[in-house]
Amino acid sequence: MGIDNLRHTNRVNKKTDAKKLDLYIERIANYDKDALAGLYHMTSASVYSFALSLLKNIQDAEDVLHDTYLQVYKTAASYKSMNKPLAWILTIARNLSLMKLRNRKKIVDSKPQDWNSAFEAIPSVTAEDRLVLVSCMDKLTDEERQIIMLHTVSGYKHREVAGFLKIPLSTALSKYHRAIKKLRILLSEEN
Amino acid sequence: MHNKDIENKVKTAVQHSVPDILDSILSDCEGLEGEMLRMNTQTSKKSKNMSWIKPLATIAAVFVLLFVGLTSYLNMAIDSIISFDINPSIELMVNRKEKVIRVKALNEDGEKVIGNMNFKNTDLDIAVNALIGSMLTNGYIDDMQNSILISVENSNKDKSTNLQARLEGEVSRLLDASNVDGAVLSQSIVEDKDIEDLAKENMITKGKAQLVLQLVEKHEGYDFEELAKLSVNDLNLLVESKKLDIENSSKVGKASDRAYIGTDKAISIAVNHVGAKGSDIKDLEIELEYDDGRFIYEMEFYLDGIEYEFDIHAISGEILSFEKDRDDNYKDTVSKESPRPTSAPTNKPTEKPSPTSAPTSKATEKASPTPTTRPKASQKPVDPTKEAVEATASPKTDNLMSAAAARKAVMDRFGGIVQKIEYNYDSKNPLYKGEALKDGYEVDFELNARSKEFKKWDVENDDEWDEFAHALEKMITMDEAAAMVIARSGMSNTFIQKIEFDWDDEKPLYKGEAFNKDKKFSFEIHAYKGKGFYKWDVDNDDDTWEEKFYNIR
Repeated sequence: MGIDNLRHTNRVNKKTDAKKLDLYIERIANYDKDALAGLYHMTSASVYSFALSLLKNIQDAEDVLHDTYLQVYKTAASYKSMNKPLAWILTIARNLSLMKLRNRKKIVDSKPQDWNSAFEAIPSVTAEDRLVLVSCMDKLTDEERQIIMLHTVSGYKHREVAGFLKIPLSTALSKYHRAIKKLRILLSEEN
Repeated sequence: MHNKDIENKVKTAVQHSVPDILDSILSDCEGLEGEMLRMNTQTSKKSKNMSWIKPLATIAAVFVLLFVGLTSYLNMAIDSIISFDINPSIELMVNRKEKVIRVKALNEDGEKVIGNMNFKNTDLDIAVNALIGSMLTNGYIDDMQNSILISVENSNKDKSTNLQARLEGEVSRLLDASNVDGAVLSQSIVEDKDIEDLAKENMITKGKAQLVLQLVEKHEGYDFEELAKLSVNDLNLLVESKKLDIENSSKVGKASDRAYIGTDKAISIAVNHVGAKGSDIKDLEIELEYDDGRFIYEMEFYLDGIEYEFDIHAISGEILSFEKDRDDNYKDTVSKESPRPTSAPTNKPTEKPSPTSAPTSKATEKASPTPTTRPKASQKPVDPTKEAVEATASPKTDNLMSAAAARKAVMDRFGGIVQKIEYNYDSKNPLYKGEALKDGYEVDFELNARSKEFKKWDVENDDEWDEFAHALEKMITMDEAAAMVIARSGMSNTFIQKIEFDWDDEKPLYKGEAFNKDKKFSFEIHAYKGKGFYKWDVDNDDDTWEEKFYNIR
């Protein structure tokens, strides 16, 4: 992913970006694949990180990433803009992830992934990235990880995180605080 | 490592790990159009069948609203809740006639301030006067901690905003009268369960909870629980340092940083450390930051093509971290007088570039030395708005005099009242122009917003003062009118570009124009106390701010 695209994926909840996403979805409803590409570049990091937080499996998260955009393409015509396009996309990703979890018919923790090797296999992931990702996957609770991903990668405000995860704002804030503290300790130790 | 650094590391790591599977998605989309059409038809059929729900829901909503409205009206003994925070936190509950129903201390210091005073059925203004007096007497407001937060909660937004502006003016006046250079931050708040819970859990007022939450939401890396423990003055310092827009708030005065070593001292510590002189360094950026339970001065500057970064403890002056990095592009960039090399245009044109808050091309290159070998998408993203969002990085902020400071400079020199003041944009010679009046005299002035010197000061005999002098006591001041405009705009950095006092026995007015980002506010305010706004027009598509006023308050 190039540097320009990296910037696109940051803080997509800004007003201008929400408008851009709305326009993309409007165009996708008319089968515009360029618009789908634009939407993908702006939101794929949010979708992937959220799916990975829930599923804790790289292949499954990739499947959900794929299926989310397919679903967006299929259902864009039914999208009603309420200035929350990312929430709509992430809700699709969440539903698909939950469906995948149900289909596994197993508790996801029963088969933990070897995160170090999994991230090592991705060429664009640096050693420092790997340390950060492994810490997120191994050391944070599921809820802490979801909160961190929604806040840092998707640019959700704490209030939006609380609303999306249906938890009290005070819980979202304190869990975020705890997660950042954990990461700070882990990353400082490694440094 | 700062919290925001951790956030950035997570963000970057995730972005590097996202698989690029766009080609496969696009290829799987082929042939799905037919399915989409069928789904749309089904959806529209469904919505036809459900069409009876809408009117029924509307009727039900009307009944609910009537019921809620009636119940609220009958139960509404308390009309407004006003809280004052410094470190003492006090809550006043008043009825519709602004008579005090109850006063509540929310901490020990608040109890000390209230003491034996009984405010029941007292006018709000009198109670405020007594409370501020007691805070001053008890030493809660001084040169080190000069900020006070006033929060007004009322279900009626206009009423809340007007009361907020009035109290802000009144408290500022009381502090001025006691020769205290105070900073008054005021805000309107609405009933909110989340805020209420946060306030309870952290044992602070709802007003302070709302202020802290806004700081946390608007700035990466801040933690609610940590900030909730800070004094209002420290919070105010962060608001100023980060130039944060606090919604539904306005502000008069400047928070005191006398508890800290100050920016000058911090700069001199850093400059001495690298063995240079202050005049040698270029492109200095410094801000007060709060991280890991302490205040620090974060600083960046260039010297001989090397970028230096310092974190300096704001109380002890200890150098907490120090980094240097050669930047080969620096010379070219500076000679072209373009923005800082590290502040590459991002998709956040209104935000001040920060060395760690957003990935810059430099930072990203450092973090990702290995080029990606994943397959690239065949189609580039197309901007649906056809606008180059990234194209407008903010120019560097000039140290220009604010409108409030310009009014104060005129009043300090002349006395009386400012009758008219208008900022004339000129990048080389930015001027505040206007007239002021006092008994028997008028002055025409021009004040340079950059050098802060008067370029014109023509005093003449004039008797216009006689026409309205008798009514001055009954009228709000120009500063109070300006505060009302700022409060109503909902953004603390709204710029009052033009304001004029227009005398009329029945309807004296303050009128003028204010700007903030793409908004232009045209206003007329009744000058008589308690009358509020006469006119309030908002143009949501004005580009004057961006062209002329982006760097002035």
